[in-house]
Amino acid sequence: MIFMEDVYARLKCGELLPDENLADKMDVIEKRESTLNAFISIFDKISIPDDGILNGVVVGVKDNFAVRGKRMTCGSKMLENYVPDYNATVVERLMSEGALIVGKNNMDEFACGSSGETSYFGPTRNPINPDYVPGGSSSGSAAAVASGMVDVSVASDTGGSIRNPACFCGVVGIKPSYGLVSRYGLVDLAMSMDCPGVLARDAFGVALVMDVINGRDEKDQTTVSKLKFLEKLNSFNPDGVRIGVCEDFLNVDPKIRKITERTVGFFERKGAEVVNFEFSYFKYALSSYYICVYAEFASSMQKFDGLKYGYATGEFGLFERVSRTRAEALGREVKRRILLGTFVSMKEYADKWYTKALIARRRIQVELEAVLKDVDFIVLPTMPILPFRLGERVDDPVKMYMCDVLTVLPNLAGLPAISFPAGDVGGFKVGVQLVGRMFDDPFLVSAVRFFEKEGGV
Amino acid sequence: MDIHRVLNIARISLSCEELDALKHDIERILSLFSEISGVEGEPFEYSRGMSTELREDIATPVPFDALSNVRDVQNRYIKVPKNL
Repeated sequence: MIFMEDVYARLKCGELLPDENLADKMDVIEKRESTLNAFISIFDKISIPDDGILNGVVVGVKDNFAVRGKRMTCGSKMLENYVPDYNATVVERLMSEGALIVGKNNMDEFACGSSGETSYFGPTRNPINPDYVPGGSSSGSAAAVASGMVDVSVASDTGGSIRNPACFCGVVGIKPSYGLVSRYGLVDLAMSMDCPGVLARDAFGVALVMDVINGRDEKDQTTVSKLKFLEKLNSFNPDGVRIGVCEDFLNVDPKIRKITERTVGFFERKGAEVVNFEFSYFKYALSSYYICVYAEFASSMQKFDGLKYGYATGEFGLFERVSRTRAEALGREVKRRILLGTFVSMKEYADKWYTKALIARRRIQVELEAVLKDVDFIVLPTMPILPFRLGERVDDPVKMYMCDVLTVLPNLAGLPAISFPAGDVGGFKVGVQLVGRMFDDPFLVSAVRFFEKEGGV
Repeated sequence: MDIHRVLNIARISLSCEELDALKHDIERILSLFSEISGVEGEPFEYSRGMSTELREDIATPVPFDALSNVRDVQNRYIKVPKNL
C-alpha cells in the first residue's frame, strides 16, 4: 500500500505532477471499478487548479454530499436523478484548496446499512477479497481508498459509517467531534449524530484533509472553531498518557480481542498507563442509538414524497402518489427504519421508546464524559467481528445492527473516534478504535501517527 | 402495534408480502430493544447540543428538534432547486 504521506511528498517536491497523480488514480479506477463498484458517479473533465494545500490530491466524496451540477443519489432510487445546484461546505473547502474530486462514492441507501450491500446501485465489494463486504455505510469511500483509486475520501459517520468500512478495508477513518465539520450539504441520516469525516491510508492523510474541512461554518450553526491537525501530528508523547480499557468492550471475536490487547500493550510499553473501567450503560448503547436514529430518520425522510424532487410515481391522488412513490423508490432497510421511527415517536408510544432512548443517551453521554475525565482516550475494537461474505447478514437486521455495537458510543455522546489498522487476520486488516474527549481530535490522530511510526503493527 | 396506522402516518404503501416481512423484522427489533424500558433519569436534550455542560467553545447548540422542526431542517439541509 502506498501511503498518503509519500504521495503528498512527491506532489509537493514536483516529482509527481497533479495530472500524473490523477492519471494514476484513473488507471486504477478503470482496472478495479467493475469488480469493486466503489463509485456511483465518476467525473470527466476534471480541471486541475494551480495551487492549494490539496493541489493534486485525488479525492472521492460519498454520494450524500452535494457537489454542484453532479447528481447526488444517496445510494437510492429516490434520488437517482437529483442534481444539486450548490456545493456542500466540505466540498467547497476541498475545491478551494485544489483537491481533485473524481467522483461520488457508493454507499448504503441513505446511509442505512453496515455492510455496503443496501445501495440501489449494487453492493460494493471489499478490495482485499471481493467475495466479502467492505463494511458500511461509506462502503465505496473505504474501498476506493484501500484499492488506490483515490488518495483520500470524505464521508459521513452517524454510528460507525466511516470507522466500520475503514476497519474492514484496512485504512484509517476518523469520526470527528460533533460540530467540528460542517454538515451543510450533507443529506442527513440522524442530524444530531451525523459527522462528516475522512478516510485515508494513514494518519497523515486524515490530518491533511481534516485541516482543510474542519472549522466554523455560518451555514451550519452547530459548528465550532477550527482545530489544527498537521501542526500537532507528531506531538504525541505516551509518557503520562492514561488509556482506558473496558472489559465489556472486549467481548468480541478472540482474534480481534488479541489485536486490541496488543495495541493497548504497545502504548503501555511506550510509557502510557492503562486504566481499567466499567461502563454500566453499555447495554443500552445499541437500543438508544437505533431508536434515536429511527425517530430522526423518519422525520428527515418526510421530505422525500415525490412532490418536490426525486423519484415520483405516475398520476394518482396526492396521498396515494406519496405512498406509492415511497414504496417504489425506497429499499427495505430504509422502509424498516421509517416505520420504526414513526412508531417510536407516535404520541402514545414515545414515552416508552423514544424518551427512554433519550434518557439512555444522556446517561451514556454523562458516563463517557466521566470516564474521559480520568483517562486521555479509550482503546476498543472497531468491529466485534471480521469481514463477512456478501449476502451473509443483509437479510437479518438484528445481526446487522449488532455489528455497530462498538461504534455507536462516540456518536451518542458527540465524541471523536478514529479507527486504524492494528493487525491482520486471514488477510484482512483488523481495526482498533481510539475514543477521546470532545475536540481532542488532533490528539487522537497524533496517537495513531505514533502507532504507525513506532511500529505498532 | 397497529402496523396499518403506522404505515398511514409514514405514508408508505406495501405489498402483503413485504408488509409481513417488515412486521416480523420490526417485532424482533423492538423485542431486542425492549430492555431500554428499564432506564430512568433525565433525557438527552437536543437544545443543549453535545455537551452536558454549556461550553463557550460550542458556538450554538443544535438548532432543531428532530420531531417538530422538519420544515426548518428541510430548508437547511436540502436546497430545493429554483425551477421546481
